[in-house]
Parts: sequence; C-alpha cells; structure tokens
Amino acid sequence: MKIRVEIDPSYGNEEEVVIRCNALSEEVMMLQKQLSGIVSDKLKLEVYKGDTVLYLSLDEILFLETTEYFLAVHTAKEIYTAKERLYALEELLPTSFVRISKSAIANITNIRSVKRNITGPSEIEFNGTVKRAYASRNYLKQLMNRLEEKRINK
Amino acid sequence: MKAKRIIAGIGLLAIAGAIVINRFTVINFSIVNIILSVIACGLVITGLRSRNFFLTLLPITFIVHRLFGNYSIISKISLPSAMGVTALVAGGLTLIVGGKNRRIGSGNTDRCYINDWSPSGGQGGQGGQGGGQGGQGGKEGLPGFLRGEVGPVQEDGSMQNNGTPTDDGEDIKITNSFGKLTRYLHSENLKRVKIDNGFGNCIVYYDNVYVDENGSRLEVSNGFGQVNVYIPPFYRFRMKQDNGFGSINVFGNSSMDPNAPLIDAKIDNGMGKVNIYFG
Repeated sequence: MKIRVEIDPSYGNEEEVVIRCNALSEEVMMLQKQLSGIVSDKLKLEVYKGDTVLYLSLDEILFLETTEYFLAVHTAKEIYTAKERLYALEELLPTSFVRISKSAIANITNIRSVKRNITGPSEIEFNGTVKRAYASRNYLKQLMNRLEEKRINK
Repeated sequence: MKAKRIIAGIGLLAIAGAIVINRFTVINFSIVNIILSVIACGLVITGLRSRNFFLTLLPITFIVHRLFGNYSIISKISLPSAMGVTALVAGGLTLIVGGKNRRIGSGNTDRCYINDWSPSGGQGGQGGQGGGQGGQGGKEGLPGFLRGEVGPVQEDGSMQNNGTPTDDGEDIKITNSFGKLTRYLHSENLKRVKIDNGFGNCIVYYDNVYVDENGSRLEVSNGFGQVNVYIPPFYRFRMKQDNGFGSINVFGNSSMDPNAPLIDAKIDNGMGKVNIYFG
C-alpha cells in the first residue's frame, strides 16, 4: 500500500484523507477505523436525554449497552440513549471501542482496571467514575489483547 | 417454556445416565426409579427457581436414598431420618439466606421485570452483522449520528423504536433468578423499587428518576448472586442491612443535604454481593 502526502496551500483549513482502493478489503477497513480513531475527538454521537438531543464526544463515552428498548450510552456521570443498534455502531466506531459482551461495547481509553473472573464476567472499572461494566468470557481475550496493544504502543 | 425444555432435557439425561449405570450394575434401576428421578429433577428445578431450599433439597435426598440406599454409608440412615435431617438443613439455610417461596410477579406493582432463566435476559441480543457503510471514507461515509456536525434527527428503518424510555411508574419490582438482568429505571415519581435476585447478576440504574420530598424505598433481596444499584449522588441514602455470609458495599458518596430526597434502603443479602454506587 502506498502512502502519499500531498501538500497544497490552496487547500482549505480542514485536512482530508482519501483512501483509494479497488475493493473494500479488511486492511482498508482497519485503516479507516484507525484514522477514525485519531480524529475521534471530532466525532460526535447523537444521543438523547429525555427530549433533548445532544452530540456527545466519543472520548466521553465509557461504554454502550443495549437494553430491550434502547441503546444506553454511559459517560462518567450520565446515561444517554441512542437510537442506533449496537452492531451498527461497532462497525463505525474507532478501534478504541471494543466489544466486551453480546450486549456491550467499551471505550478502552477510559478503562482503569479489569478484574478478571474465571467463573463469570470480568469487572471493568473506568477512570473517574464508580460505574462498572462486565466483560463476558467470550470477549475477554479480545479486550485484553487490545489493552495490551495499547500498552505496547505507548 | 425454556424451563420446561430444561426439565425435559434433564429428564432425558437422567434416563440416559440410569441406563448406563444399570449396564454397569452399580445400582439396580427400575422404571419406577427412573420416573421418580425425573419427577425429583423437576422439583429441584422448581425449588431453585423459587429459591425454596425445602423443595430443592428434599427431592435430592429422597432420590439419592432410593437409588443408592444399598450402599453401606447411606443404608445406616433410614429414609425418614434422612428427610428429617434434610428438612433441618433446608430450614437452617432458609433462615440464614432468607430464601422463601416467592410468587414471582405477584404484588401490586406498576412495572414488574422478571428474568428467570435467560442467560442474558433483558438484553437486546443484537448480535447480527452490520452494514459495510463504515468503509466508505470521510464524513459522507458516516451516518448522521456519527458526523461531526449538528443536524436534524435522522429517521431510518434501522431504529428499533423512538429511543424514548417509557415511564416505569411509582412502584417497580425487578425479579432475577439466573443470568444477567440490566434495568434502567424511569419514573416521574418513584416510591418503591423492589429487587429480588437469586443466583444471577442484576444491575439497576436509577437512570431518569424523580423522587419527591417524601423519599423512596429501595428493597433488595439477594441470595447467591450479585446486585449492583446505581443511584444519583444528589439523593440522601439510609440503609438497613441484613447480611449473611456475603458482602454489602457502598461506593461513592450520597448527598448530605438534609433537604435532599431520601432513599431508604433495606438490603437483605444471603451469600451474594450487593453493591450500591453513587455516581
């Protein structure tokens, strides 16, 4: 894959990254997600609190969890609702968001600790809040790998 | 329906096991014993569901004594004595853990959530495959709700409902026997929340809840599982706890303002864990 940076002073203030490919391969999708992760602070998720529509920065999100009626979006102090389905969001969210159970996705940048549990779901603590999420055994390995990747990258 | 399937499944397993055991002539199985085993399994399941130690342990004792009564260890105690001992054990456990034969879903409640057997009950269970629109690149490739711009509410076919939670009413009862149950409470005037958890993991959020100056009651009864209750920190909190061999923990701080509405909690915990979070 070629990587090329074109500098053009006539271009506007907002940089644009275009990926040219003949097919939507896994590598391209991964690259797109990685790039989305870098600019995630600019991305907003449309959420609701009662009748109010809010545009929430992805960095603020701790985890997302499906309920039978809505998708709950947890921040450190609030719970918002979103209209989208969890699997649809999973495809679109940056790589910092990892599936932790059949019904939840967590933002690993906000994870403070993972209390591993051999017999049941592992408890996830987040920075700056008492809220907990639970990673099921099926998804724990994936979560730990992602956390490990993040640690090595640092 | 699922409980019936499980009972039927256990019955088949019991018959299969009985046939194998019979081939090895460990015990002499008769058709009567097989039928009694199936009935006993059904009673045990029912006992576990209703957290009734008597209904759980007595059939086990009966069937074990009947099947393995020829063994020297078991033959030393007669069936009535074994049943008597089991009844004492069940009575002791009931007193310690606080289990009782609850009528699930009974009571005058506005909203009653019940999760008996589902391993991930109460969840949406949306494990399907998403579309490929994420790979289209740029903001145009993202749907409206993920774009870095403010726009009108997008209405498309993928929405499961209008996203607005319904009001659960003043009196909410949540029952969970096994598996995981997560509930987000929404009430314009909450008076009472009753959580009854057996072996599972029950998580309750006071999400969009208003409690007036008269306060609200929180009653938690937990057997062997775990109950997590998230309460906003702007409420006062008072707790009366009755703990067996488990643990009751409070994380974070509730309001110290004497004018803040009071949440009066009564926590009855057996061998599980109850966590109250403020935040």
